[in-house]
Amino acid sequence: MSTYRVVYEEPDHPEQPAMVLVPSDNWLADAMAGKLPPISVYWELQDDEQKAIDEGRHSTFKHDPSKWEKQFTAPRIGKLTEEEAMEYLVMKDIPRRVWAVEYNRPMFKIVKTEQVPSNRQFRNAWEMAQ
Amino acid sequence: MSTLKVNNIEEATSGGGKIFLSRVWCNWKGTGTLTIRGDGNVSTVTDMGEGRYTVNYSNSFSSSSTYTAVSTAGANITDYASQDDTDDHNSFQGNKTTSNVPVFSVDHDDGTQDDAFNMDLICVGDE
Repeated sequence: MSTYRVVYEEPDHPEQPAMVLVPSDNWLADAMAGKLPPISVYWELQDDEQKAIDEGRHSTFKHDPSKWEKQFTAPRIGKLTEEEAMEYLVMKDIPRRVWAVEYNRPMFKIVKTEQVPSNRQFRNAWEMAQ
Repeated sequence: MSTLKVNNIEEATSGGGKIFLSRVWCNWKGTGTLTIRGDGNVSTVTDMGEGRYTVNYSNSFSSSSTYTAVSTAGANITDYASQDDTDDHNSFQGNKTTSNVPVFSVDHDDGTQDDAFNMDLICVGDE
């Protein structure tokens, strides 16, 4: 099981409970075996889909096949450490407004699994430390 | 282990109908600290708050017209009558994209979002 989790807050809704991203062990194994494409492959797909959502044509949206295939055909980036894999996941699965914009306090943090409280009531009152 | 690479699978008899395989599956525990028990083509599951999850796929679908099914179960359900306040949940999905789907678990009795012991997801699409 992964050593890490990512805790993050939604900048537009700081009153909401902190969210906890849990990695798949299968995905981590692939990342550490060097099977991932460059992160830009996913960003390109996300950008195209967001544009379709913004323009109200998402219900019939199809990715450009040449961009979509890069998930499988782009040169692999090489083996990652578990820590590097977690940083990759932040950029892949967490909205860019959380990690790409500078705020007056951190909006996400990679933490050890045992640091995440299992008690929901406690976690709901959580706020990211500086 | 060997890998079989094909573009289409069709039935060998009875007219050769096309067979569609699941592209994404995931089972996770939503109560306490979220735990992914097993998955295929899933990079992460995010605990978004009580009874709210987002499943992110390792690789995206090629189009937005995918089939997604979610279900939820308690820890000790043996029949309908055995469900109680902590075990009976309904589940539904939010606005999905080609790379993720929000999933919700709701207490059957009072309609509030609530964590479930057993969450399941399966997605089918052309690519």
